[in-house]
Amino acid sequence: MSYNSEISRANPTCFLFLIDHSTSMQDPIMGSAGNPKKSEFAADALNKVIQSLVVSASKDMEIRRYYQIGVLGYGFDVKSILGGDLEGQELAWVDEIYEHPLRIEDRVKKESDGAGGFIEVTTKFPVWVDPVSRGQTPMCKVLEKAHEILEKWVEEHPQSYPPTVINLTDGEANDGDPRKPAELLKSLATEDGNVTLLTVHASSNQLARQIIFPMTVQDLPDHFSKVMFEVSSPLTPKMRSTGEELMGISLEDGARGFVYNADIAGIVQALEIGTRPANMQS
Amino acid sequence: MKIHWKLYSLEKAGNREEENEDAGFPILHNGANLRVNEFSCALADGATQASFSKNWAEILVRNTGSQPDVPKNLMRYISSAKSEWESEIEKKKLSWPAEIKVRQGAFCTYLWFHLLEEDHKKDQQKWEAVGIGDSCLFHFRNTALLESFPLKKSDGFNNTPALISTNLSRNAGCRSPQLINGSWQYGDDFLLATDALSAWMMKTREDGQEDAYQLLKNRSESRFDFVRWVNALRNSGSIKNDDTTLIWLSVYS
Repeated sequence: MSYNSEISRANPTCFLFLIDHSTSMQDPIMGSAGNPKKSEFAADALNKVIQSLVVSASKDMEIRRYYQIGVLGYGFDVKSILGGDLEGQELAWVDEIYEHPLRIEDRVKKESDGAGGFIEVTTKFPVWVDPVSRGQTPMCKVLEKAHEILEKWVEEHPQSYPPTVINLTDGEANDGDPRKPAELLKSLATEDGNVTLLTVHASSNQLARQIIFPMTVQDLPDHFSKVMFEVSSPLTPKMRSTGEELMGISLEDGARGFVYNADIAGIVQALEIGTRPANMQS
Repeated sequence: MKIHWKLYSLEKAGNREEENEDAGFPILHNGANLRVNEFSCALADGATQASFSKNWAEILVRNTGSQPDVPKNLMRYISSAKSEWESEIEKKKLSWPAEIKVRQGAFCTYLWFHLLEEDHKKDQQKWEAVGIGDSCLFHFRNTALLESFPLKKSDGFNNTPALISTNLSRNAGCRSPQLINGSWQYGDDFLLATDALSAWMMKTREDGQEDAYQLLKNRSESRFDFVRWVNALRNSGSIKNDDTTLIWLSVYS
């Protein structure tokens, strides 16, 4: 149980994203009127993370099959939200993901002009998931679905770096206590370690205090955050070192993979910490 | 001086031969004997996580492997090798992820070694080396290790060695590369090895269970022996499964 397995074509790993589609996701992020809707920001952040995974699997002229990727939406229903040619697939290989975005948008971003100013540059932005905000928060059901998918996966990949599940949500489960299905999900393991479950909770309130990778449940303000602390796995050593590198803070052994009331930067960082390839070689 | 040359390279188990990202220069017949007064060679290990690192490693060793002035002009050589790498890549039709990878740069370790025979009547002659990263040089005399460079111990190997990049902004460390020089005698052996074999060499010596030099000498009589031996070490978990390259130079009068 070391989280040391090399991620290779012979022993690929798996990233499964769970994304909250409840109606409250249409509120602006951090409750601030000028900000994008949480659902839009979450979809954007997820598209960027998937893009990073595709780039990291890109080697010379090919995309190597280092990862399988899945995205489950939960709200009105619980299902894979990969679309187009990938519709209905719970997990897709990273090269299939590359081949089949829903569309590629032109996005304008500002870049330094090298003389102290900025210029607007149009870049290609592949989109795999669109924002959705309709329904309740069936978190127990999506954790059960993740278990169903990954139970088979760990059996088929006993020597692989274990799957990473990242749950991006803004609210409480309203279909029961998520601790039970989460425990079941986290009990799945390869020879290299258990499934890790990270929780990224998007803030609905700009004044709320952001809590990043807490060590103890006492650090948390209310029942819901305490439940989500228990639901989340401790960060792996590699995630801790990535977190330290990105955030410049020290993360001790036992820090939970949980960000509460995350602001925009907090969500992006947490997603990167969870997905930066562990020990990718081959 | 007469130099006896051998170079063996074996791709990581599970990879295709053309995916081997180690590069050595010059390209000579194994077992070749060269009579020269001066000799240089270079070894580089392309970084897997970057793209087109194999091309980068090959260009770098090709452009520097026969040059005697690398310690003085390394940055200039890197800059011209980068231009050559870019023109190779420009010919390719790249996907958007590949383009992003190219912008991030290609990376490799680097080891350059130079032998000089100033006067064949002298007992002690000069050698020098430049090293960036964890490809290592070993200097042996009568089975005794006189020097290892740039690393000395097996715990010096990790997943983040220093690297030379086509992304020049990432090369701050190359402005002051590790340099070393020493003296040699006729009969000495110089081994250059990429990280997996270098780490095995150091660990085996530290454990003191076997004579690493003699073992390696016996197992590198031919490429066939070398490949069989490295595969056996991989199977027993005694060596990291990685591209593995050895240059063995013996110097005679």
